[in-house]
Amino acid sequence: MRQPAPARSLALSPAALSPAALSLAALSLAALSLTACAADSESGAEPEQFRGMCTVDADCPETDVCFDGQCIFQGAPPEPEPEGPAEPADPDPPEPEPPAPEIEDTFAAFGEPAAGRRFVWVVSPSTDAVARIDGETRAIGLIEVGDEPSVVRAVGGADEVVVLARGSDELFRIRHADGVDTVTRFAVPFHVNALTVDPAGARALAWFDLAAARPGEDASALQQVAVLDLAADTLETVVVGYRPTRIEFAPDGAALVVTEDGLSVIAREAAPGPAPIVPLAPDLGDFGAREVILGPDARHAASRAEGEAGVTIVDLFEGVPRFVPLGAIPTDLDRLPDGRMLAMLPTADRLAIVPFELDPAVIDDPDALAAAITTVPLRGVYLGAAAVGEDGRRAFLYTTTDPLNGPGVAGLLAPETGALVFTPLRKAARGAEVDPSGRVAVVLHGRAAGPPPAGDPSALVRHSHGYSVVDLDTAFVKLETTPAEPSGLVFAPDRAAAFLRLSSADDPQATSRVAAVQRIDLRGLSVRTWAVGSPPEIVGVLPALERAFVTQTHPTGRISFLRLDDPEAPIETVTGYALNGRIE
Amino acid sequence: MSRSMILLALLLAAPALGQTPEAPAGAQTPDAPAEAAPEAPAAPAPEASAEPATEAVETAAPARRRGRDDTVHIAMRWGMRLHLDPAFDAVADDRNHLAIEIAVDVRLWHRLALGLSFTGSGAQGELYGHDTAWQDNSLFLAAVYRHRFPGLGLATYGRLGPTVHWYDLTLGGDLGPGEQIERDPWQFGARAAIGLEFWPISPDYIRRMGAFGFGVVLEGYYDQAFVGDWTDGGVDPGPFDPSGPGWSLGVISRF
Amino acid sequence: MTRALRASAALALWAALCALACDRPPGFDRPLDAAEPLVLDRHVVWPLVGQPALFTLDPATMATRFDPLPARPVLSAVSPDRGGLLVLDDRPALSWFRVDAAGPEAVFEAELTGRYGRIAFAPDQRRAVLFHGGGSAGAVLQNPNQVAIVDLEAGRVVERTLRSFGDVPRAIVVSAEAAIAGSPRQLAWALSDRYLALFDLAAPEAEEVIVHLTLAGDTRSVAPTEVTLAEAGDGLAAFVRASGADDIFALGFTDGQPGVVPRPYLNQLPAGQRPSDFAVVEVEAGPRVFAVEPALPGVSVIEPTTAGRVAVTSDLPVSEILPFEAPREDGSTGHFALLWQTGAAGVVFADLDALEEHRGRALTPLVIGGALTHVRPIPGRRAAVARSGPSRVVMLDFDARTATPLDADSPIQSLIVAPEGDAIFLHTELGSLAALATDTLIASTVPLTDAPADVERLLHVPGARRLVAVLYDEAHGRVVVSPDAELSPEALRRRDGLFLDGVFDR
Repeated sequence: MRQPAPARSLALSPAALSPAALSLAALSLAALSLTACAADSESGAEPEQFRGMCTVDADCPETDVCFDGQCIFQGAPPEPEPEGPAEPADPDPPEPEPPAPEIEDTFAAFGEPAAGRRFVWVVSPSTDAVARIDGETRAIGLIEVGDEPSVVRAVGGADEVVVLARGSDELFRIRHADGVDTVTRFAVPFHVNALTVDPAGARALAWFDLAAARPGEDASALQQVAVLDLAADTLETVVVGYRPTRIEFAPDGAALVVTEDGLSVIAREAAPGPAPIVPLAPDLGDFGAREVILGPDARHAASRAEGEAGVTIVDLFEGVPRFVPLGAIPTDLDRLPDGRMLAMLPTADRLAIVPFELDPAVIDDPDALAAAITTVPLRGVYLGAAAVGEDGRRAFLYTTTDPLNGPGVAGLLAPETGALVFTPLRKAARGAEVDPSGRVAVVLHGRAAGPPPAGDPSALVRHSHGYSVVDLDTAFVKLETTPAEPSGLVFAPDRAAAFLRLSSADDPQATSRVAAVQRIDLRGLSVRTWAVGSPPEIVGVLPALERAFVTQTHPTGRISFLRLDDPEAPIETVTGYALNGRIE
Repeated sequence: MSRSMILLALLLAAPALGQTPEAPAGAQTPDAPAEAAPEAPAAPAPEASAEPATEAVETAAPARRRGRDDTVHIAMRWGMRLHLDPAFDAVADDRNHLAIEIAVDVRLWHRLALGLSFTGSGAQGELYGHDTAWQDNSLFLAAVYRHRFPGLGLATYGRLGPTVHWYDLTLGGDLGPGEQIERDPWQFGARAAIGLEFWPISPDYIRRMGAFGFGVVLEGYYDQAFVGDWTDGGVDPGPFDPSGPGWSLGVISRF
Repeated sequence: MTRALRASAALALWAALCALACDRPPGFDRPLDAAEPLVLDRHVVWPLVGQPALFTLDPATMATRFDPLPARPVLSAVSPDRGGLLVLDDRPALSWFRVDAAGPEAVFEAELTGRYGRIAFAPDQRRAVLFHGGGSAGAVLQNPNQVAIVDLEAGRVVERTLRSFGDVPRAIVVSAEAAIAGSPRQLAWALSDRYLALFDLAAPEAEEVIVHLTLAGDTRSVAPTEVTLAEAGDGLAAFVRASGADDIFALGFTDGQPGVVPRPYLNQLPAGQRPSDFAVVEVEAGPRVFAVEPALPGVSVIEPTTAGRVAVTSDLPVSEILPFEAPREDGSTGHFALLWQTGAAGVVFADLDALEEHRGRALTPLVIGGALTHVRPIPGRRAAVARSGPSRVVMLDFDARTATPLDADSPIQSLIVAPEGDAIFLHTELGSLAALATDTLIASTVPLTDAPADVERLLHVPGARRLVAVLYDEAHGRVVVSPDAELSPEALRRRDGLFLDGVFDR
């Protein structure tokens, strides 16, 4: 399951915010509610929002029970008994073997420093400060914040950031204007270690991510989220479902917190009390790990889990999860920007393109369901994972279950037409990313352990790290072997370039020291490498200044700048920005 | 201070230290007539000798008067010499130092005599932590004018004349070639002195002067040096004028 | 009665004369205690600590001067133009003398509150900084962070304590007056372990700026040893090399107000591993920092704006750099440098303009027989003089890349290069003095003394065109003075007991 990179927020193309889209959303909302009304005409309820007040069971959706005036989700109503024994003509295999899980290794940039319009903001935990580096003059200023600042996020594209100080549980909002830094401090009443800022710059949410917890860390806030309203300068605590794992934002500014209980929705003007939860799984007691994806307009959510031969779709306003059988256990779900999702069903040798929005009547009717779902056969090639471009023009299909030292086959899919072609990969894939323009996929490869045996030239490739660049239009694949494991992939937002870092510091068994940054030309597929002075940590892009930056591991802080448009220009490095805070 | 004590001791011991020089020819010992007188009345034959004794005395008297014109004075004096030039502070702690003089003068005509004396003086000191030494030896040829006061047993005199000095100055501990200030072998000077003689020991104390006498002399003098620049082998310490006054006290004998 | 009158008159005269003789100047009772001689432009000055006084010798005329000082001199220093003398004495106070043809003339005196052990002059002699510099100055309780900023022209002293972060100023470097961050300033840098204090001599009361070279919890010893001010990027930047650090710290100044010390921003330029020396030279491609790295061995070319580094390896060990300019074949002026290390077998000539591009091809090694010590540039010429072995002098010609050895008859005790660069003077263990013309390599020699072990040091007084050999002395100063060209025994002037010159006038 591929976690989308936080820097590229979901589906918030500028078109989503236009009045036309808003009216469209309103209309679809109305349409859905009418549909819901029609579907629930027997029950007589017309829920337009989430679970609300009730008096009798009939006031609630069919999955809910009215408990002391409140609708409580209790699970999907039991399936009706099948009519007699299954026909042998049913092509569904009797008992599909559970497919091997696809572990998509992400090598996208994680936790990068915040890049504003002109500045790069980097946390310096050792000096309890945030360094602000001017991308143009490379002058550095240091702003003191609380203990151990760990995360910094840019607010919109302005020179404003929110910093989470993990050691002292504080949030700091820093604004830089006219050479002056304005710092506002907010104390968070519980321990948090993750920070998400909505793309519109209205709110910042601080929460506790158990997956990122350190041993011995205070993990008491597993159901609390601190919401910082950046306009009003207020901080309030909102209770959400158990163990939030990710936060997405709806176009209307609502925060959608993916938890194990479901999707907690923190509306823009939240009512007091816990945030309402939209269940994602059809069963109440389903606490298993689910892969959740949100629809393009954040109106729908779909999820899958191991052992379920289908996906569960939920309309967030309706709040009723509905299981859509697909005939096989999907191994990957990816969102397509046209309101559909891509489900990989490798054990059934096919993939399915399922709309997010499915009428419950359609779901119940197999023929209508089959008509609503587009199926593309995989023609015998086992492909269990997919990476989709933002525009949905192309999807890159691959699998990570093959042995790491063998070549493989990947597929290119055009979801609109359902066309599928295959292309060989020299090395097995471990993960893939598609660039924002949807033209190129960058595939991460693994390598066989140990030194290559002598006398076998192809073994050198097998035992090397590397990645491939796949042109999604022509299916051309370029393999690039690297001396160290590539990581930290980041795409330049406005041009066909990508950067990644190579660092031998990640690999304890590395024999030689590697510290480099690579720039991939996504048009010509050529690669240029720059060596940097210290092991690179994070690669990022400063679009307003036409530069990419690389932060490096150095006791006093080191950051290098690369020109985006001129690969021949020398790399510029600033070292010692943590020391700048000690000039007194 | 110690020098003053030494001087006092010398003055007190002067008579013991004073030497009686050999009597020049022609002078008779004053004891002879005293011894002859008691012997004359003891012998009978001396009846005739009594008359020749007085004749001998009478004949001796005109001979003594002639010896008075050949008066010779020999003196030895000790005293302190002062340097007026502050430059001497570089040489010694004290600008006073001891000077010893031996002088002879011979009467030529009436009260005038010609004198020759030798003076030796020296001083030692410390300069910048190292020893210094100063020696000044001079010969003085003087014209002496002496006036006697027979009734008082005193005489005053004055001396005036040129001097010849040999100076020797050493600065510093190491006797390197430049630290011994070299000078021309001798330098001219001049001295003027006034003195007072007191003659207590003389047989003619009351009646007449001219016989042998032994007395004490006190003198004050001024020594003027005519020195040019001090030339040196390696050092030019600057101008130094060793002129200055002095006084001395000593013993004098007369023949 | 007359007798008594005469006696009392004599006694009175004696007493009067005695009174005149009572006050011997106390200086005569103290030792001279001459300190090390200071060479000025035309004079040699000995501070006589015991007196206290200054003894000045004009070697051209052999004239001497004895100037009493108000208190015992503790520390004396000559200004860089050799025309001024700053004396710190025991009170404590300082006296500033300008030395003209006649000798030192006192310009001003100022009382101090602290006792200082070191003096750092500004290159233009207008200001000086006094600091403690380690060591004991004899006070009961000392403040080693106290500095005194002396304006020699205005005669003002400002004493301040610099903020200390666990160490004291080990050295102070004063840069030339320049326009930095918008206004003319004269920056001084106090170097301590792990940090620098930056203050402005033009605004002595302004609070200093402290630049730390390590993070707060870092216990490494990073002691700045060299500070150079050079043009880099936009405006002047200071480059600091520190022992224990692999980087050269570039401090740039963006803005500042007059009267306030500007705050620099710091960038660490990676210079390989523990650079031992560096130079900032504006070559054709722009300003570059050339850092010599003995571990490589070689030199790194660092571009200060981008911190890009090109490491060039050399065949011979190097640890020092000596930049110079020389004309090229096409007539333009090229930038070169001599790279060397004490004890190495040779030197390396580097073409700095071409070093970044051509790397190893821009280095030309030159092997000299024997281990090399004491390379010193000859001013005004593209040459240097080196010592190789106890009795060998090697003349390095940069243009021709030659090394000419010259052998002496006995081990060379000291070697002086004339400030004009036209001659080199040395004296040997056997007591001979030699003057070597650097252009013709013709030497004239003269035996100095009969006892060769006597010569303690050799001094060159350029304005008087004389060489002064100071001999070991237990008493009162011994020198031998010789003209610095055409040495001959007849022209030697020897003075034993030099300090007794004019003693009768004191």
